[in-house]
Amino acid sequence: MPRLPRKPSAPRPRGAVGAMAASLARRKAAREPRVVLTDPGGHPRTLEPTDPAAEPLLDAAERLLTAVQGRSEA
Amino acid sequence: MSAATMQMATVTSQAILERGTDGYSRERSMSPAPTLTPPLALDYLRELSADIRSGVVLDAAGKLLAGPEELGEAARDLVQAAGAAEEIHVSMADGGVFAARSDKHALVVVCGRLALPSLIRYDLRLVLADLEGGTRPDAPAAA
Repeated sequence: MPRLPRKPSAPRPRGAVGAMAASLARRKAAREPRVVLTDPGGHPRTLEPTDPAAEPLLDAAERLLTAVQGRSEA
Repeated sequence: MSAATMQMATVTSQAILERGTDGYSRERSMSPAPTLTPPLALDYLRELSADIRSGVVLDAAGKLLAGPEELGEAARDLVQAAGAAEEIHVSMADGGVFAARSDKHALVVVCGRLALPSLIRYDLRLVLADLEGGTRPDAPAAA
């Protein structure tokens, strides 16, 4: 089967600018809420933050984090 | 222990030796090992990982068995919202929340932002197994 030509992609920044952009992207990704559920078979499933099933989990996690922060500040 | 009881144990061990069994190992101890209590489970988790800030132990019905009262309700809601999932990991900007549960207990811990998920999950399963008196999980694969 003949190989199809590659799709052109937008040029990515390289060098110091590229490293800085990648670092910022990693930091942003790390701060985004993320929900992972693992079923009894050991299979993980990541829920999007916009998923309705993720909402109560994010809410409960936020309450837990707030309570622990309150305890450590008290 | 009476003399007869002591003699019975000696006779049994001599019989095992005479049968030519190589060594005389006893896999199970004579007295059952003490199981981990819920408060001890939390202490043990804090010792295993410095990233764990706080946590709670719930029973199957969601009743708080150990840990701060103010975390109980949110922990119960988290576990209930996860449906049939056995492990939960919620990562947020300020930290992460991890939970693992079995038929009898649920462990919910709050960690700092830099906690390594695979290690925390392994620690939770390990302590949960000790709490249940079950088999410990295998060590996590090297990343």
